[in-house]
Amino acid sequence: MFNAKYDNPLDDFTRNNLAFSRTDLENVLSGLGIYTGKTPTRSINRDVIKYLRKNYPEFEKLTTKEVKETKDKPVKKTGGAPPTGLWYKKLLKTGTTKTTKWETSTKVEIFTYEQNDECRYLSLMEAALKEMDYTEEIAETGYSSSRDSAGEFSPYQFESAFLKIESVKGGYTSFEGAVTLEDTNETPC
Amino acid sequence: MLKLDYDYIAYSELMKRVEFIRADPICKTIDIRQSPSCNGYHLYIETTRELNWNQTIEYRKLFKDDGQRIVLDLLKTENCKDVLFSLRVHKGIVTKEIKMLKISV
Repeated sequence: MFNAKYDNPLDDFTRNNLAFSRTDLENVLSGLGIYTGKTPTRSINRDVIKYLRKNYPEFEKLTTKEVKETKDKPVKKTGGAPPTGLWYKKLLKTGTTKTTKWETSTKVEIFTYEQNDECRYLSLMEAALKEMDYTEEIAETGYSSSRDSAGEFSPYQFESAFLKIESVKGGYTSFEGAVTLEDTNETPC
Repeated sequence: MLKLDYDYIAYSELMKRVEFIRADPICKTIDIRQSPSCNGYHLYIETTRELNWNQTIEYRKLFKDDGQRIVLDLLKTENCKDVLFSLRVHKGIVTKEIKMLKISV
């Protein structure tokens, strides 16, 4: 167990050295020459931890009950409308595309930047389909909208978008450049 | 903003990771969502300061983001890095992210 009489050397040390590491505290206790047991290092570590927990709140050990309470504590929720004036990057990317007969390996990526977080999934999808081979359709897609300050200086601000259609097998790009989007008045994503 | 993808982990493991992230001074808010494919969680972490790409990768590694995702992002072009899909369409079925919690630190 930690003995209060050893607090003093550590107190003196921390008072005189504002910046210290845990190893420094261990060295102080080790230098006292009072740890003569079978496992002195373990005893020193234990006493340093006790000292830190006693004097510094960030080292405070919580009981299992307290830990559980912390986890179950209701979290603060920020409500209200999302802030305006922030730039969002809306991206649509295909997993697989297919023709009427077989699956193809065309890779489609299209993105635009906008100053609000409206859903642009259909707008992006339609713009991409316009540039694709008419026999091809998009079978699997993912859409992402995330805050991105790069939008402020990008040439691809809504209603402009950057589209890239690439054949994975052939290794060639069939389309790469700007396209125009149409506002499809989508419901929120 | 840091985006993390945790696939196939239990809720208890998720909360352990969230506690770890909360304790880091970089974290301002954590938005936790169920992924559209319902096989994991997406975390959107608002940071207390702007991070460059290398720092983002470091923090993603520290916060145990999907390793495969980190590797792929390091190989990708500038346009489509660090993407988490909030909406997915597969065989005509549309699935969306489900908002779970928003934690302010």
